[in-house]
Amino acid sequence: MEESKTMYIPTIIIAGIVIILAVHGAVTFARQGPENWVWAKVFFKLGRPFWLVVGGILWILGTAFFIMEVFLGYTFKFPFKLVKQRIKWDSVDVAVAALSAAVYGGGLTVTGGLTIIPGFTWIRPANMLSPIFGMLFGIPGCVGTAVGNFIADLLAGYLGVGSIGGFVGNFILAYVPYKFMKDHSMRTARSVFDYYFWGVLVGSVWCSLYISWWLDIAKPLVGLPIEFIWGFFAPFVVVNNAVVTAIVGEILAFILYPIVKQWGLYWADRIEFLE
Amino acid sequence: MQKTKVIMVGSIAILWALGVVFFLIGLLLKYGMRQALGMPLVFIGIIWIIVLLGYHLLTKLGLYGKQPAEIGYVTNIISAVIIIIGLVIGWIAVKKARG
Repeated sequence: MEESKTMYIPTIIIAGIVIILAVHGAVTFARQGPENWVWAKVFFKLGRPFWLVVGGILWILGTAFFIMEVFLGYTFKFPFKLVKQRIKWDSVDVAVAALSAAVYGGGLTVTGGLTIIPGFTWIRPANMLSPIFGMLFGIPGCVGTAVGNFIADLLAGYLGVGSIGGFVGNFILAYVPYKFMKDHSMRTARSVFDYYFWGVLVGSVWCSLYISWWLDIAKPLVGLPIEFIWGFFAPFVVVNNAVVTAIVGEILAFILYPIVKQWGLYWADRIEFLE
Repeated sequence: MQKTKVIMVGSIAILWALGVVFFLIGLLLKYGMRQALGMPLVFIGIIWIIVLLGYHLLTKLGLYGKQPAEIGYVTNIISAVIIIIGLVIGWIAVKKARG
């Protein structure tokens, strides 16, 4: 209880900073437009070599986590102890992954047409679902989120080699809060602090840089200009992911946690670690 | 325009190759020693292939890559149907999980 009380102030500070940053990004984008957006200028000023190094490190780590968890059946426990895990992948886990994929993929594109800036973006409330699916459903939720983004790419007309980066990038978006948050209940100050730090801030930045780095490296196949990738796409994905996740996501996670737990679908009740 | 078309065709071919590889490796694992590891790959592979078949269908119907308003919000309607399918699957999952 005492520990929870000492977390109140840091939690309020991190939640405030993250919400202000996300809202600032969205408001300045809407006011200044893509060409004059202050976030795009800051990102671009840091230079391609900087983003290639930072993005490269995050890409290697993200890909390693994806392969380790989905292909090899290993995970890590703090402080970075490698352990084997047994996810049943029975009909319930497959159904949970399919549920996450359908709701996330359909949710991202069902609001297509509610345009904010014509030709650039639309209102995407389903962005807030990715950390929630990771937190509540674990690896099946993360896989579902990745697949859901692939479905959304089809319906939005963006399917291509870039979708491979989007696939793993969205896996990371769900994986970071699942793995790095110690308490997913959203009922303690520590849980809310972790949600804003890992789920909103780190997850959004990691996902964005993962995809952007991939788009840069796969340029001959994707065909996007470097200026567009680092000077617009990267900051835009950070803000687009963070804004709904920071404002509405924590309320939804708070509501859904006890329901999912009661239904027997919470990941920690369905996984086995072989140490 | 020609270059964009070449990039697009190449990209879809790469995605097809990846989808088939995911599916086949998944099948090998599922029916081999490591059943639990095969299932997520089979799942990814199947949806991946369905998405690519959807790409060819939407392209053939002239619906792919168009603004929703141009095509009567068909993709929005498809998205809504996909969400409903997902919720039904979720309901089945809950029933199974609770026995």
